[in-house]
Amino acid sequence: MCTHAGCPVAQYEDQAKVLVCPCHQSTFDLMNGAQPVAGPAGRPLPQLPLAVDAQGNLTAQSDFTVPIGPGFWDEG
Amino acid sequence: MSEHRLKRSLGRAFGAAPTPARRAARWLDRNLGGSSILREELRHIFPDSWAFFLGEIALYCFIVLVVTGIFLALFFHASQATVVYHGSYHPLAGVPMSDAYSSVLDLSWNVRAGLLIRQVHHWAALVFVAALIIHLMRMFFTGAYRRPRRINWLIGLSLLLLVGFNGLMGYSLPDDLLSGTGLRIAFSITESIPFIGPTMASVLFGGEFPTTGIIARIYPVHIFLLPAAIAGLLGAHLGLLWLQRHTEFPGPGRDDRTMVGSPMVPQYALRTTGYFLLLAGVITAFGAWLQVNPVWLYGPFRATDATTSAQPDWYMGWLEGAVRMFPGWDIQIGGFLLPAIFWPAVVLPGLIFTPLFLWPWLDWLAMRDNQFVNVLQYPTQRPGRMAIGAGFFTFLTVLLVGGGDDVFASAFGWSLPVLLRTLQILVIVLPPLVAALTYAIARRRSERWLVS
Repeated sequence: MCTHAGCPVAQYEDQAKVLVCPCHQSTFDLMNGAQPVAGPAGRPLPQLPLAVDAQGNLTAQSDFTVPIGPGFWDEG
Repeated sequence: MSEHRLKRSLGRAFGAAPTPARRAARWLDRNLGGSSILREELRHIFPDSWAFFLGEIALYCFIVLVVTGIFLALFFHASQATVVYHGSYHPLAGVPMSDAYSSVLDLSWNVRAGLLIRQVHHWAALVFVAALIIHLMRMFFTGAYRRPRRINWLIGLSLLLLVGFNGLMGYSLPDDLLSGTGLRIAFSITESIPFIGPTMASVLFGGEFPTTGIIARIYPVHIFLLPAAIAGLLGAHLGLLWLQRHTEFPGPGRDDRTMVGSPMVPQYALRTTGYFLLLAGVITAFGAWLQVNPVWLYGPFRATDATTSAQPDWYMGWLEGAVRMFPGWDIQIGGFLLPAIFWPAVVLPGLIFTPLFLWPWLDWLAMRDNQFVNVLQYPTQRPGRMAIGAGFFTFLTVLLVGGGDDVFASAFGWSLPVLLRTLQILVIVLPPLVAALTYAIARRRSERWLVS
């Protein structure tokens, strides 16, 4: 979910390795912590720390470290 | 022939005899009274100018909207209960969707003339807002907002706000992917307001987005509350217009006490009826031939999906552009967050509409002109006002272009970030430039007014 207005950031551009939000074209650099590189979003996309366990399954090491979705007053 | 004899012979020719119409009129007068008022008011003078028909376009769009809206309400279901679609639009056969979306598909594909009426309704809304804005610009540039019409200026602006908002409510109802995305952004914008935002968004939407009751909440607002408010304000607007008489352009025999024009009956009434029929015909032709909001192509709303090239209706485009163009300045204030979207989506509309509402009084402060006026000004008579208006209009136009930046970028093969940066510069640089240029041109022309 976009940190700008909460739309699903669903467009992946393979050449630039960026995710683009279809609502207001916020662009997030997947090679650099999903930091916003263009458009109106001010904060990176929240990350889920993933790991591979002994059986080779993908697991999350913890919950999202920051709230997902658009910003609001009590969140800071 | 003397005047007395002429009247007598006309009286004999045209019905000293009690015709049915005469008898009906006499019956009405005996039971209701008021024939003297009626005789006076049927001769109410309206000045003749094409520029005075712009508000009527808006009024007649409202009538078209009410009539088509009643038809649509017969078939629309304001419910987000999940149903599986089995209608005649095959690409969506078997797809789970809300009852609301399914009922819009049904009324578009299976109800006779349903799609036509839905498209006429949508087109009438698009033209309605355009007519209001052009009407507003006519009032602004000709000084029609001056005393005694300040209150009517406020009513007109309130109408613009209510109509725009009701348009937004209307295109949110079908519960398609595009409208759901719009509601999602509306939720995020509400949530961005300091202190009260999160609570307010939650109260308005009935929980955190996506909520299952939002269509049922919007529906009575769209079909009852706002139309009633719009009808009431329209009545007040026209009532004041009638009482105060219409303004007129300067010309021979016209001053603030006399008026040159056509009487209500028969000239004006016939002209305006024809005008209504023409407008209804044109809007119906739009609805018949120009596709608008093909919701079946977007698919049902799902919280995990979004459409590309997502644009709101045109009158929300300036706001969409502002939201896209404003930089991502999220501010942390001592453990609280002020999201960047707050500035373009909440503060900017306030900055745009507050001076508009105050304009008649700002104008009075600047000009110290507190006369009752009925004669309008030509735009170039007031170069300063014309410059402000042109700059303001340019600002909104750049924002509107920004609202479609992804469409322009892909249509012309431009880089989106470069286009965005260009628009960010233009929105600051262009309005003062246009204002200065307008001032220079209007100033040169206004010297002619001073001479004559």
